[in-house]
Amino acid sequence: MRLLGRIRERRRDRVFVLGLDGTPHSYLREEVAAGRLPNLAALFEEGSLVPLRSSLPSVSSTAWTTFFTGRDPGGHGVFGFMDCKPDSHDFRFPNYQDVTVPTIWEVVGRSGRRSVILNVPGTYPARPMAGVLVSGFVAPSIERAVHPPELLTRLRRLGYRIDLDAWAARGAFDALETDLFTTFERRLDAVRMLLAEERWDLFVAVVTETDRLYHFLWNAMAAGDEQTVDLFQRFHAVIDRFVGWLADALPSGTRLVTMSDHGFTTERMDVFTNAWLRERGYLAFDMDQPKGMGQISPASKAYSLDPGRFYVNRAGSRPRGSVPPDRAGKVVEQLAGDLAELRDPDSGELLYGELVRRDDAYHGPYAAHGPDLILTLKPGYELKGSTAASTVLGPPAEGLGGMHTMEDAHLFVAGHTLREGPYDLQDLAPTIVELLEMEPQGFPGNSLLGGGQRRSRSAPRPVGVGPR
Amino acid sequence: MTIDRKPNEPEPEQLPADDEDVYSPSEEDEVAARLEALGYLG
Repeated sequence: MRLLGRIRERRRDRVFVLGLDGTPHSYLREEVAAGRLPNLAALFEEGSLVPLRSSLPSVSSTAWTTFFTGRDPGGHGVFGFMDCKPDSHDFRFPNYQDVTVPTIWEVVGRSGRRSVILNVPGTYPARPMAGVLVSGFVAPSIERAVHPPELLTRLRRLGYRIDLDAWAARGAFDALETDLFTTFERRLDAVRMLLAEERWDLFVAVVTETDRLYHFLWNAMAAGDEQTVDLFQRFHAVIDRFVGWLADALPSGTRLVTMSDHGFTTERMDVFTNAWLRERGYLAFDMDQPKGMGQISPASKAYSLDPGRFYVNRAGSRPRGSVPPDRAGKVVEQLAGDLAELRDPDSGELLYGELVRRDDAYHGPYAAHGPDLILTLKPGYELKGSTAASTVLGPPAEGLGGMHTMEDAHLFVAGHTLREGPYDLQDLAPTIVELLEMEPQGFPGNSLLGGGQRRSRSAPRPVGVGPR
Repeated sequence: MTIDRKPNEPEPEQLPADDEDVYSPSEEDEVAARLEALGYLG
């Protein structure tokens, strides 16, 4: 009887993860210190709030997939929002069907436990699992974004939306403001409904509205624009009120986690990597205004995809590939040396931040699909893979102003002291599994909970060239 | 300093050849538009 009671007690361990897409650790700290987020401040008193390092690259599709698989892109296969098809240079959009390694909720489901997964980017199309799943960005339609399908009617009744209308909101303050709050409220309605109606052990709910606000208006906020600062404060205040409600509403014993997939900062300039490759003679297209990588000239030695992913144009399965395998290493070395000298042509400022080789960044069955080199620049310089750009540097596009950072994502775990950092997004999956009182086995990362004697894993090692 | 695969390393798994079972052509356009609105693909 006592054993049965203990088993029942253990089955009541629950974890709720609130994802705030792109919300930086530093911004949260500042807003809490200013007294503007009282519920988050009270929550943060009861656990550990730490800076988190995102994936490489730190775009949402890659970062969230890293979060929910506990693997770097070499382990899960999603290196960015777009990739070239395996048999051509045409773009394709990696999606949830590409993810063949187990997700956290699939690991949890194997133990007979249920999950509710709401709006996690990179989970379209929805697939069967133990529990319910509503896909997040970039789901183009709600019909295939819901498991089980019966949930669709309930979501429609709420007026649920996957995302705000980014084109309508871009550069249009009033439209953004209205859509931001409306989409967020419908999201919270869905959280409340699923909390009330579903049985769950793991609940993950992601707010993507934060990321949209930051993409469009971070620069204006950081510059102190009064109207924008006010919008930021009002929007984070409603998040804060929701967190206060959530902390009271969650069943007793639930571990509350808040986190973001990357940080955000001011976007000073855009750096067009394919324009740089063209200028240096690495890349050419068969037309002046290429609409994608499909028009790459077979004479090209290298090309780049968003953000900062550099690939040697290898001969092989892609008909327009031309660099023989035994020459690829030399192209990589030449490219690494040239990238280390990447400068702002106006100021002469060196832009180089960090350059990492594929084998140092990626581990697992998909590592060979990764870029040969991954570049990050100094904060403020946003890497763009546009094939149409004719200049290497330019101001942020109209209506945009804000960029992701790899550092300065955030993680908060209620009721626990975390082990000594650094803290890596990849380590959240084993951490969540351990919070559910399960053995965090099968993940390459380490649980972040304190007290364990776990091996440490170092960050990707930068290429040993150029300034640091 | 080469980063090519080592001789004994297994061939990588292949990514899907096409995504027609995930995105229709119009949905693919929709995905591209959403990414472009946030500054990707542009």
